[in-house]
Amino acid sequence: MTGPLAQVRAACAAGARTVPQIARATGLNRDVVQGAVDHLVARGGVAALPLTTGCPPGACDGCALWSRFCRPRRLQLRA
Amino acid sequence: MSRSSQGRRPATLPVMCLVGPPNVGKSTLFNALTGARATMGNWPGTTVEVARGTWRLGDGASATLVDLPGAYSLDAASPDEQLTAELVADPDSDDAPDLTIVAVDAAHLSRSLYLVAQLRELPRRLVVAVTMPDVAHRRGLAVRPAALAGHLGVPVVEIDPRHRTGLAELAQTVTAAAADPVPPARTPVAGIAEADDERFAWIAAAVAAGTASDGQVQTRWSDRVDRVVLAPVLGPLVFLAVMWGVFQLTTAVAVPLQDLLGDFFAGPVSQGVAWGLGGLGLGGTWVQGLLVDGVIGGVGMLLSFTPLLAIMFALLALLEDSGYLARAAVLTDRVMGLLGLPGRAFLPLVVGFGCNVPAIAATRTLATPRQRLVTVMLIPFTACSARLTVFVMLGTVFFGRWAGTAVFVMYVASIILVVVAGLVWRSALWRTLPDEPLVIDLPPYQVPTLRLTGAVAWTRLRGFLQTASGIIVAAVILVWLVQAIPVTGGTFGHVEVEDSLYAWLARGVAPLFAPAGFGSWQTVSALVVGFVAKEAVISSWGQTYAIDNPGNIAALGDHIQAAFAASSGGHPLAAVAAFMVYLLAYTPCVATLAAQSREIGWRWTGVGILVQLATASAMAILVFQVGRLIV
Repeated sequence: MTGPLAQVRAACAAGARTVPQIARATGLNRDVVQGAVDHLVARGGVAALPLTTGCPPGACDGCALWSRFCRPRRLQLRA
Repeated sequence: MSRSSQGRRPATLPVMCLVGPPNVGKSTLFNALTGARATMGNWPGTTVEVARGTWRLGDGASATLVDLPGAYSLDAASPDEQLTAELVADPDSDDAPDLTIVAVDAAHLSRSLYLVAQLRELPRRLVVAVTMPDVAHRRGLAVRPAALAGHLGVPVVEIDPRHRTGLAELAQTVTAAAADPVPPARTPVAGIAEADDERFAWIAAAVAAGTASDGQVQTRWSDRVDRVVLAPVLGPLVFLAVMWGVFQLTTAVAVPLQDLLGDFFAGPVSQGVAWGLGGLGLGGTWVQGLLVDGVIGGVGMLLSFTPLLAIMFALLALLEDSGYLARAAVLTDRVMGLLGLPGRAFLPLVVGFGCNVPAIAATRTLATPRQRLVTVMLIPFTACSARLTVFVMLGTVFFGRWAGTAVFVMYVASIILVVVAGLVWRSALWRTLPDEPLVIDLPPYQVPTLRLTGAVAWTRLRGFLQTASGIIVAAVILVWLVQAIPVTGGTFGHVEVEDSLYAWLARGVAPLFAPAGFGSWQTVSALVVGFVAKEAVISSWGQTYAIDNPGNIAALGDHIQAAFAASSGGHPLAAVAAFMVYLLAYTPCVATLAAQSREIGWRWTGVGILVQLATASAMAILVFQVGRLIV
């Protein structure tokens, strides 16, 4: 029998992209999935991509809008 | 709280360590337990700061409580975590505590329990303090301390340090546990991955046994919404419907405002400048031509689109702030899999729909040069906001109340173009590109705030205004200069535009576009100027047709319709559709090319230009030749 980490990894490989999707695919508790994802990200087995408003990291360099109009920060959505 | 150098341990009091992941309320708990009897200082031999205080346990008993740096696990990733791991896990340490209190977050129990799982594999006295029960209750989750303790094999106490509840029970539990024998340790499984998996299985069982849910946690309303908007078939349909609504609402609301602003530039602004120049003795000179026909005719025409862009940016910012646009981005991630691109590539492509330049810079987050190359090649096919401006204008002129639908069709065409081009690039260059499992952390849905929506929309609108006041002004002056040079009649600054160098040059190129139905010099010249910046297509038309009514949108629309009708042999709708497709696919603006060359070099940038020109030409000819059979 495979454990939660292996199940989460398999669900990611099968196309699940969010914690609720992985929870549905594995039948695991959502909090357990979140914990497993955090652990896998810390171990380097899974990449995590937080989606916030604004441009992604590295996009400022060379952007025509940055120098005069953007501030060197990203707008964050409320938690 | 005073500061002092930390000694090792006072001789008489038992030492208890407080550990736990960051942000579980550990320091709040420490302060509640020790009050003002605490000191701060570096742990001896390290630069790690810890707090130490005396905890009155009751019945005259006390203990020294040490608040150690937060740590998710005993696998240290920083000097702070290293100290925590050494103190609580090293069996030979002189500083090993008599008892360890692990603070865990009731609302995120699984994330907190990994440290407990590791500590339970060591012969240690442990007490688990479950914090933030109020937050968990609001999420419909309740911890059952006795059941959780039964599974973990150590005492569990629920506390709320902020409201000072459970502190006495914690003191009693700790006092009793300190007097008990050390509980037997769990036997770890061999192998790092296997051990991790076993610990999470243990955690999952503990969470199942030790918590009760009223169902809200598993079926939040946002989850139910996500099941629809992220569904494989329904999700894209919802996204397309939303985007159609955005473009339709934009054109319906903005066009009257745009007409008002256009009339303002065509009337008071043009007449005022002409009157002022007349007062200075410059009336009828080339200076008036430059300012009225050039700058006001070109830049003023472009600025009349400000209300339209303001509304579109505000609507998109509303979607962004609500959390929906992030869901739409997840749908794009599936397309990346189809293209064999890594999931991470979707973010630069999504950004490309705003502006190609930052999108190209964002490809640096991709892991390999191949991934970056393919993504950079695809980004120019995304319909940036500059192209959308031209689409809106043409949609308004040619499709009336269906303008929003016309823009929406171009938006969808852009997505299809990215997919097809991606498949071609992949089959031509690399069959597979390495990927890694990806999890997307979606923001919660929320009611959009006026402040954030306004800030995002304004930032983008300012970008448009910057372009209009910078590179577009330069392009307008250059176009005016070329239009002022006579070739077939007139003198400098006093020449009909069709007799100018501008028209003469454009006539030389125009026949190449005849198969696509827009082989008139007025149309082709706008495309060439659009190489500088796509918005310059509009400003150049504004200048070319500015002879009678500089800045007048309705008059400009009549001129453009006539030009397309003439060049297409009476099929203007097919021709304008072909023109819009060409504009979507052909060479991006100079800023984008500069960004491309910086990321992938001039050789691949050159290849990209050739591919885009060939793609744009083939598609435009196909659209016109098929379209003329229909309309």
